[in-house]
Amino acid sequence: MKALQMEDFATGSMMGSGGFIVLDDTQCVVKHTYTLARFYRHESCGQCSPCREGTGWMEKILLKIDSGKGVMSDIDLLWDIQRKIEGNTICPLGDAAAWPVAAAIRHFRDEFEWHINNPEDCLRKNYGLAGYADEIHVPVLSNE
Amino acid sequence: MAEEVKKEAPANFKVTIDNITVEVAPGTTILNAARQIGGDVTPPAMCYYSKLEGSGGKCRTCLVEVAQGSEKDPRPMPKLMASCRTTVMDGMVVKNITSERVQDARAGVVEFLLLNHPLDCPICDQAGECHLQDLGYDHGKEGTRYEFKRRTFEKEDIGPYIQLHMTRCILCYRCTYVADQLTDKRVHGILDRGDHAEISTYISKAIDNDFSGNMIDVCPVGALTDKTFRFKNRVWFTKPVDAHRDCPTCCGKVTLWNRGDEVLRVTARKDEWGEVQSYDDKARLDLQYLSF
Ligand code: SF4
Ligand code: SF4
Ligand code: FES
Repeated sequence: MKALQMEDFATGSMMGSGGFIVLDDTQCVVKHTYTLARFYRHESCGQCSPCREGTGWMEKILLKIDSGKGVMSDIDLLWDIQRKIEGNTICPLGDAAAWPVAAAIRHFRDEFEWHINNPEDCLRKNYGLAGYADEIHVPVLSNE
Repeated sequence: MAEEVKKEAPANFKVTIDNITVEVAPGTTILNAARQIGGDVTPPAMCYYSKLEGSGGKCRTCLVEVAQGSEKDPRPMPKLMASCRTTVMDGMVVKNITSERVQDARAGVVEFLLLNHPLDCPICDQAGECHLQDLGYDHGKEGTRYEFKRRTFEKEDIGPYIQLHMTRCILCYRCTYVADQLTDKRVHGILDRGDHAEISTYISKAIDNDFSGNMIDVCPVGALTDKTFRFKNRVWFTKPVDAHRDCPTCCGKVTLWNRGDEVLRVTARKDEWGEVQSYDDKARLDLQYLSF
């Protein structure tokens, strides 16, 4: 058995500050990306414009996709926003906010597309392509 | 060793910006070197203000590409640098308008600055002398990709002289530096953080310091405007006339804005970079002139 090393993460993903989160294939990538974006929007100090405005924008778009209201162009828009934040901020928080979004789109674009193509399912189920077992019961949508 | 350093120090640094080479004193920032060349080569600066210590680095409109770090170490800098906060090195090669990357990043920054901006220019007193309008015109893209509700703030009255429109603020921090460095006591500041950060006076205390008129002058947008001039006229209908005011504490350089024979407002005189001409000798333009 081999210890986990930095090189193992050289997949265009992000090792960040040394900590990492392991998600198995039952988890929804879009929802987790939204959670990360929400975290960074909340942590942004608001000094420089790309981070102050960009983190909030990404969060709003991810929430929109996650709640089944996204359109296909939102994915490219997200990509463009993260690209314009990355490297242009005062401190690395901007980079750190951009990378997970970039990595998610780079590796799991199909998951985003699933959310956009299946707007009703993604409201009712807590997952995208993943085989997560529990369904969420959304009272508004259920006919009972 | 120390002697060697001493011998080298007085020499001027050669820096090349967009293929134009200029010699500047060590310690000069890229932005100021570019201002010495002037014209299109100069990056736009929304937050840096040469007279205010510590300003700059916030808005990111002045980003440039450093293609060669210095003569000794020619490696390029991987990230785009804020030219207002990066000092030149001897033999540095900088790309501003000749760099696609810079133009692209700058368009991005303009988009971010305008993202939550109300764009209520038709009813904004700053229109016509607004740096954000100029920036958007020069570097922005047509249309917006933002489809969410724009940020709003609770209205706050900050006194009889200055009108605050927080929605128009780009958080350049200039006004807080003015308050810190020119007025006796700062009574306003930035509250909160992130996208809900806002300019506010503590317990809504009125800003009625003699020098607080400077805040209106440094504000690049219509967030802080002159209450005594509010809705009186449009800037482009008035004619600027240089004037002098005998004043023991300031340089006295003012501009009168006339319409016909009537003087509608008085401001500090600005240079080509939109900055108040001088604060030398603690030269300060005080608010009294506004209410003559
Ligand atoms: S601050 Fe400038 S861009 Fe904003 S509404 Fe006023 S004139 Fe228009
Ligand atoms: S009120 Fe004006 S000067 Fe103050 S931070 Fe906002 S934009 Fe800058
Ligand atoms: S002028 Fe350089 S970052 Fe604002």
